[in-house]
Amino acid sequence: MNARKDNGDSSRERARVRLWPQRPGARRTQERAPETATRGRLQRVKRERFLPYPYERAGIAIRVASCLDEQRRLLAEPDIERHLIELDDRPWRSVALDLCLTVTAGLVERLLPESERERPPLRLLLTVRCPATRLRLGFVVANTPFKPGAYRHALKLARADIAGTVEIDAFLVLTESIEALYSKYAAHSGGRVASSRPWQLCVEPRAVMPGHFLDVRYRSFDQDALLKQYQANLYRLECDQESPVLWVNADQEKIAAILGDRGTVGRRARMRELFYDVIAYGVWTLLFTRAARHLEDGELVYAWEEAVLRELLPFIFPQKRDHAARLRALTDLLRYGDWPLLMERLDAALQAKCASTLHMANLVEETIERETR
Amino acid sequence: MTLLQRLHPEAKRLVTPELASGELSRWSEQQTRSFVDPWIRPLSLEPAERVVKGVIERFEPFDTAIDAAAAPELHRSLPLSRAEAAEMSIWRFLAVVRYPELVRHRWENRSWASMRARFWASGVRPDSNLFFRLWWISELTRDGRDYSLTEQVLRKQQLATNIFVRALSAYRPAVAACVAVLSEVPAAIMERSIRDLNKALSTIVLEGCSEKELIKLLERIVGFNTIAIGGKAATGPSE
Repeated sequence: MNARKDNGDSSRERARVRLWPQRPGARRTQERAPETATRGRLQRVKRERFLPYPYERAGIAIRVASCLDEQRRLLAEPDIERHLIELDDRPWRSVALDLCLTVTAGLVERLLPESERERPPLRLLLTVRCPATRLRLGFVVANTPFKPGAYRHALKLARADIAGTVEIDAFLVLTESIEALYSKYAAHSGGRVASSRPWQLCVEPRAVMPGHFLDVRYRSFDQDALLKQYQANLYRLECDQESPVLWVNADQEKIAAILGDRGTVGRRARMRELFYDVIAYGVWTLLFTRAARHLEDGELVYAWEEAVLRELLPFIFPQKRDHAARLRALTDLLRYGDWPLLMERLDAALQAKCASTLHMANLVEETIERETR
Repeated sequence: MTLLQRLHPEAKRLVTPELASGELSRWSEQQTRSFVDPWIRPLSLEPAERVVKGVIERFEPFDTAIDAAAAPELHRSLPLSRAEAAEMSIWRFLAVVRYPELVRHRWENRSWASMRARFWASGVRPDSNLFFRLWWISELTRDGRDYSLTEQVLRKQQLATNIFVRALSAYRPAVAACVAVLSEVPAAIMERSIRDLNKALSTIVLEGCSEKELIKLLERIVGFNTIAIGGKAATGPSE
């Protein structure tokens, strides 16, 4: 009896360890997976951490009307979809951005208790951060008492002060403390209650990862309140939105350096291919399962889900001739709840799509060749 | 005339225990030739050379006062823009090829890992490239030609370490507030208060805060911590 009991316990332990490999030195709260044993089965519980009050992460809209150099010549067309401005190699001394920041009345209502809405104690801030040159600037765009609406701001940055990628963000912050009675809302002066989807200004050719569906951004997870809990991770995908965003942890400096490497030959290039594969595998899986779950619930929610299915289903159901037939095959699998089979096919499809085998072989070849040189 | 140059990433192999210990004083020009490139513009190293020589003459080896004295002088002697100074290869050239003696004069060779980082790694932590660290701390803390905040913060080594391992150090009002409030508080309270300030910044936008506001916030934090830690861990001001 004892032996059987021991076996059962250790297999459970093995399952836990396999699902969540422990990092040496990690704190207990971070290394243990949130899990509960329900009816003898291990169940993973998704745990998210949020700010303890209403917070709108992309509540403020930033529009870039123009991007000009010191002679008022167009430097680059802002990519509205990706919130990205990529400057070309032309020499320039300063860049002037004409920005329009919009805060709706509805947003202010959601963030403040009713008694504060008439004279909202809010300040609209624009921040500019350039990690390469350690530049951190803040500009007050609108002050308290805050009025919802659209605000113009002319931002000028000198070439000598910026390098790599500059991040432009907007925040609404409380300018005074609100009575503790309204405990649901942010209460302390200085607290941020909303931000924008940041714009990235790429001063030099940036580290871009290939991806048609994704907005890929590098950020220090340690410096981001919401990403901080994932600081041991390499990336974090946010896909419950119109445009999925892949956050790559810039704190993982050695890996980020390889990902940003622009060479096409040599060991670093081969490693980069493999690193991309690792990320791509995880990201495709997350995108696909999200799309499949919505399909199982009745219909797709976001436009990107359709694009993801069109991309992956030919690998999963190679025998089906058109997209409609592939969708029917997927729906059938989902109807029977055969997720294990679906995941098995997805795994095979992604291995083929990511070409990891080829990239591993290339790296091995490159390494052995170098060793024998 | 000696000019500033770039050192290739492959030159990491030049950072050896022999160079760190001084057994090898400097690599010869012939040995480093294949690892260096001219920089984007000619910048004379003569003023920097005078600073290095002066510091070695004026200070005993491993004197912590070197940082506060050398940082502003180095910054003045290397007139670079932030964009230019972001390039790590120039700092590596200075530490590994040109002036390894200053690295050895400032830091005792107690740990190979730390010593290697003081020649090679980027950043403003104590275990990073000496030249990069001193130049950038000066850049982040100066007010035009006034380097008084630079000198104040570097005179308190423990305080400087606690500030410059954090991203808040890139915001001058935050450094000024830390120096104003924490310079004279016991080390345990200082360390905990910076940690708490950093935590508070997860909900506060640092760039929206003035030096005055940050001083007020820090004073509140120090007040709490003084009560929480009490006299038991408070052994005296940080050095």
